[in-house]
Amino acid sequence: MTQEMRADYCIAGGGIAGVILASKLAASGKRIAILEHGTRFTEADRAEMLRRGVETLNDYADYNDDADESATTAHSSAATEGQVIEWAHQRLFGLGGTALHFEGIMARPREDDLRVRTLYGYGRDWPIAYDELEPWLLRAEHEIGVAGGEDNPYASPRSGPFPMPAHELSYFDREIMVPAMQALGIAGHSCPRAIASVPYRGRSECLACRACKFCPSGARYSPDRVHVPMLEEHPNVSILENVSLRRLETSARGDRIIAAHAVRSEDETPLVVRADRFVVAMGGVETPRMLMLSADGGAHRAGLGNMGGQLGRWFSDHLNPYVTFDVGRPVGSRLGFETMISDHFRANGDRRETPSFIMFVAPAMDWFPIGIEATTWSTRDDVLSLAELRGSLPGFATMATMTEMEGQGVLELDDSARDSFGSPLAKITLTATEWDRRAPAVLGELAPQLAEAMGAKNVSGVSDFYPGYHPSGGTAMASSPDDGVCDPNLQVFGLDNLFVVSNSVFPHMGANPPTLTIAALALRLAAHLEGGSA
Amino acid sequence: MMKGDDLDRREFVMMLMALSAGFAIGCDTDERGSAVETQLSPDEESLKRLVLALGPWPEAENRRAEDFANRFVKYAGGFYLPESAETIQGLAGLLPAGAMALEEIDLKDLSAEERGVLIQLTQQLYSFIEVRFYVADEPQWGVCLGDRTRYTQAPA
Repeated sequence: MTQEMRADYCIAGGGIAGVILASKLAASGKRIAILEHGTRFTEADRAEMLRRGVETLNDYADYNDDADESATTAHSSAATEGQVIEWAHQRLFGLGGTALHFEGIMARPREDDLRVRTLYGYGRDWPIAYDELEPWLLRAEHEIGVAGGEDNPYASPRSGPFPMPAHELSYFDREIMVPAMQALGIAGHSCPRAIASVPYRGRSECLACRACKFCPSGARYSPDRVHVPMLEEHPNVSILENVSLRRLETSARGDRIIAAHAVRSEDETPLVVRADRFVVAMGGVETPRMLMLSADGGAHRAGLGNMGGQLGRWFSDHLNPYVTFDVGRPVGSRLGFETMISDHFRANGDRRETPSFIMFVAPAMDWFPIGIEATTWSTRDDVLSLAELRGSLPGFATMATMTEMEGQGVLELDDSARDSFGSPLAKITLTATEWDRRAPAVLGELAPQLAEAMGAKNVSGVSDFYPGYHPSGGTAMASSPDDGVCDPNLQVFGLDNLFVVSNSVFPHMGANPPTLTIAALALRLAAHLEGGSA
Repeated sequence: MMKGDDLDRREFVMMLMALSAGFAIGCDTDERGSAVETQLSPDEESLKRLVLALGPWPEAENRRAEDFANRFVKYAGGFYLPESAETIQGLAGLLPAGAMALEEIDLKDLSAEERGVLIQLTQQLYSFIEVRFYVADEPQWGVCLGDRTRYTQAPA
């Protein structure tokens, strides 16, 4: 039997965008319904995931390990060089979304990231300027609790300080990496992190548990630990877990959304939510997919807001190549995350020729299989020296980069593959262009120079690219439907009461991780919805 | 305690600290949580011997090593068994009895298959966080140190 509910706002997606947006709308007293496909994870769940990961030697234990993949829309994708990208494994379903396990790097976009078409001739410009976005970035830093410093010489202007000081640089950063980078004219600086360096709004400071995915101390921001409890204080907010939005229904005239049609996962009970306004905040893959699944027979027959054929186009992500160093001497203990980053290659270099990228180095990070290099480097003349291998491991460091892409991907529905509800899966084709591949090439030239500067014994080649963490661009904001899917206030073109907020609205994504910008756009949207303008 | 939770973060941390002691007992738990001795097949026993020989634990850390090796066989053994059972048995047969934390291995006389398995096993073994942290004298993953300056200090 179909259940019906009525709300002022229906927000689809309980990730960072949805819950921050809802937390700002909640004080209005208006009825808010949040539909979340996944479940809510408890602290006991986190402890069990970590315990089980240790017990079963699964260093990649994660929140959705027990989820039904067919229900979480696992999907295929095509990628360059035979590498299959599985967005299904990086994004998470559940209250908190992908921010449940994110690393918390809260780097901002630079001014020029928003004007790449005008300045460099690739990608798309944002329809809003950096000056318009910057105050919201600052608010997001305070809302989330970002530890950061003002020591980044490459940063675009900011209108206020971080809410708390940056984490102190590690021994490795301070004594080994900074001097090596300086020798090459590269400045390292503190890495802004959504991990508390001091107690912040009820959160603990970081206690160096070094398992940040589950963050036993609670120092790392997670929406379910910060904003969901705030929402639960408001009786006008209904959080519906394990409810999967299947489609949005347009009015007969095709100018409004009149209902959200969902299904309760547990018993497949249909649920219809009628609301004055609808917001799709389902992340970089599911947001464009939902607009496609909601195609009607009229003005939106090609998908909601797709009058200009832009829905799913310009899909992008980051490439994440890395290298491993055997520094040849102990690099010190770890905090669990990198304390230093460099925006040098975002601010220097000709972006017409080479994509920008951020770089961060640390005592070998948990998830890198350094045993491969360690074994190779300890084998000579048909002898594997295990003593040498063991002696070298405390001197291992990894350097990861995050590089922007041109954004030549396409997200579309795949009629040959369907989820457990019978809906077509998203099929993503993302090919790294020749330009995209130049950043890893720069890294390949840089790594040996850094190795020499730090006196390292060995350095690996550049790894595969490993995209799949930051899908973006499928429902871009633009000034007209010819260039995107939603307007600068995130209202979907042609629909008075439908909004989208996620990294899918980025016209172009620079080398910075998207989460801070997503949160900033959610805050800006809340102001627009309640105040009439952002 | 957070709403909807039956475990707050303090209990979360305490539970993880208790784990590190629990893992040193060198045995599995049955469905009721009772300790049971691990029973290994001959192939699994050979794989376990290899893990102990390649791994970093000295004899004094035998219980810790046994615990890890048992879990390795149980949860990662499928990479090697049954497909490479004969190779594993052959390699284990080359080891001195009770070998642990070997200093080096001469690969010269090994067949290509034996060499491949040995290298892969070593690569995998030293990629595990648990092994890497042990080698680097790093406290167990997930156990909160509380000490916010350790990572800033020069290694001992």
